[in-house]
Amino acid sequence: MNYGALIFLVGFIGLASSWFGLVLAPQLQLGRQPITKIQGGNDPYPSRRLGLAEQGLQVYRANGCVSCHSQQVQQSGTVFDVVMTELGTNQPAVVAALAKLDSKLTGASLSSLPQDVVRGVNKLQADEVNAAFKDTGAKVAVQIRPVGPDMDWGWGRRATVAADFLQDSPVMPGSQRLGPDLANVGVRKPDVNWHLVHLYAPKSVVPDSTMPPYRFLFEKRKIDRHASPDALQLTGEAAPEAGYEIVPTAEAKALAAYLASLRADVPLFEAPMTAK
Amino acid sequence: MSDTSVTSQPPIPLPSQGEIDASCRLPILTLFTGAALWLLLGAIGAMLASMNFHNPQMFADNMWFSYGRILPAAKTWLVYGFGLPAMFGIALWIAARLGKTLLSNSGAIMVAAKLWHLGVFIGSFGILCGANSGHEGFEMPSYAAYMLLIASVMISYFGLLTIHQRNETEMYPSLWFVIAGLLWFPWILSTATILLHVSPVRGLAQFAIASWYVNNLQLVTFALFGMAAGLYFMPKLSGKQLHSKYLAFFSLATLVLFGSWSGLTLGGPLPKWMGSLSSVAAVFVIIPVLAHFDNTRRSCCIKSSAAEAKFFSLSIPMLLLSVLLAAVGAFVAQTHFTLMRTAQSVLLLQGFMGLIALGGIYHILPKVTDIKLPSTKLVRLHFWCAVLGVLFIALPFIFGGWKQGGQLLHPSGSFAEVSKVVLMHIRMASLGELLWVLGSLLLALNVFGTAYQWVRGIIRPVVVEGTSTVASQLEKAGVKA
Repeated sequence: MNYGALIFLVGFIGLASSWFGLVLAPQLQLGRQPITKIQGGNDPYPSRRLGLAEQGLQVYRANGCVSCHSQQVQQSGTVFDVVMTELGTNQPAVVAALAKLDSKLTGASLSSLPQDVVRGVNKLQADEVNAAFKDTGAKVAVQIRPVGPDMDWGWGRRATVAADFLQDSPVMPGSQRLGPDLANVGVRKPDVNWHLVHLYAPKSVVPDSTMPPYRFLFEKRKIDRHASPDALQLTGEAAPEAGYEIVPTAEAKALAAYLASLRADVPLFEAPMTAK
Repeated sequence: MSDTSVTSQPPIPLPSQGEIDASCRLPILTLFTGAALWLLLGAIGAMLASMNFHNPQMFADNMWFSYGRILPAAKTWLVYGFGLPAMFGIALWIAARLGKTLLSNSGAIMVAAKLWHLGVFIGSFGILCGANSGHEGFEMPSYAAYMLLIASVMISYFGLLTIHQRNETEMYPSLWFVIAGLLWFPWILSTATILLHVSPVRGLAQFAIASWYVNNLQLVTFALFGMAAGLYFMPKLSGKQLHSKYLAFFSLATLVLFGSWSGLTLGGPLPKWMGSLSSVAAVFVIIPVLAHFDNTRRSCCIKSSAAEAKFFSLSIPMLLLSVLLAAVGAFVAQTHFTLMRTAQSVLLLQGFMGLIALGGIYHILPKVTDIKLPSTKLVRLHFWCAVLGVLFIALPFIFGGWKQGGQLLHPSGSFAEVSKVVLMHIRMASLGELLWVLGSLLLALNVFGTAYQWVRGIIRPVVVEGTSTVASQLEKAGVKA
């Protein structure tokens, strides 16, 4: 009784199948993905990060930022909003149409447009509302909006998709959220100086932050004749003693530039939404 | 081979157990002493990493000990420094013992083992210096990955050669698992090294491949070697027969099929089909683990007199808990991005792989060196340190992770509230980390104590001979004055 060959075959097929399924197939599907276009325009996406930000990706990698921060926004679905942008000339007809709808918008508040007619409805309802205004002369637009906990946190306007990572190597979507998601941190905090101060002394800008300070990315220097133009503007406990200044190293500058460059908020074919 | 050719030659005597153990001595001493050292560093590293949550200012000026560097280094020491060498050692020894044959090319295996440890050394200090590859679970910089690949190919090749040269033709189930593990590990490591280091694939394909590799290392490879060890040691230590060969084959077949497909999560930026397939596979992984559990529980060796027996018996419930958590995690969004994922990997790496590796080291080391462990009391103490350590890490992470996930799904107020929950539970888990530091100290004492005695045993006759008087030497040689 010796089933050596059979056992070998079973093991081999089982293991090899996963290689074809989860190595070869992703490479065929994702590895050859071309640069796409922003939905509703002709601009290529994603564009390459600028030099300093591209170096910053490597600082992010080297310091293991991925241990605590994900870079993937997820969405649980999409909803539709109907927005009235122009009233037109036939206000009574618009008011009459509004009265038939279950809308917060009333005739009295029509003076300042654009305003939402309905929010968070499904496609069918949105089309109905749209149709109700067809003959009134008012202009309404149906907008698509991804929703989910991550959107409620303000971490992004749509889910992160494969196309967002096309210009980065290595990619670091992350698996932990000990800190907030960073896929769109550049949208929330576009200021490089904010990032520098936050890296040096997180608590000085986010009082409840649990992030450890990354002081080793900065130099403490004695101010010679004139202060460095790069020196951080620090206040309170974080500020150095008089006569000294805190100057970011090249690594810190690159990391801050990278963080400020993190934004994945354009509409794509596979991640539809209405651009702001 | 026909019967006539056998009878025409005098039968070659099979090597005795002592000879087999002696042939394993150098490679296994190399693998195990290195493993003991890396485990100690890994446990201390994990402790230092968690100190960042007790006092974030502590390592603010220290690049090496900042959380994002010391944590990947500590994981590398645990998985690549301790886990794989220990598992290789166990697999090679089982292969030689079950095949009733000498370990093939033990000198070359020793060289490969040294190369492996050198790769871990260079790689882990590369990570501390900022050469982290960015792929979680495979942080090894490219130069170290090449060294590990060469070493693993050598170890696997000579391991398989040993099995090929076996004198006992019928294969005990453990050998099936060992063969699968020895084939699969170089395969996945070469795939990861080529596609992530040599010519990196583009975009998110990197993430898919890295996730596939990490799962196939941490779940499949460790489970293959771990189950091989369980099937071998548990019946042996309890003195009972293995319940069923067929059940063992069933767990092998289902493990390689479902295990190798799991590991990718649903809901991320990867195409939906990958996460869906992988999540279904993650649920089905429960089947091989349950089969293995059922197969080995009848030869449970927890009451055996051998101090190391408890390690093997308790490793399997830990594996079961880990795959159950992974199955829940595959479909329940509340576990995503939380400490529950960490808990699952702690149960798998420290709970299952760690306990098997420790038991294996404690069992095999005295046999190959022919020296009794300096203290079996320490082994019993280490068992409690290891088991309680795993539980004290995993339980706070499970509860804390569940809370954290709930808050992540229902945003209310600021992120600081999530951070607070996380912080509290990571601080609680530090107790478990401390127990692992203690435990790994105990292992180091026993392993290096044995190694010291072994070295002394070699040097002593030489020293005695060199320092003795001419008269006594003559006396020894039988020359009378």
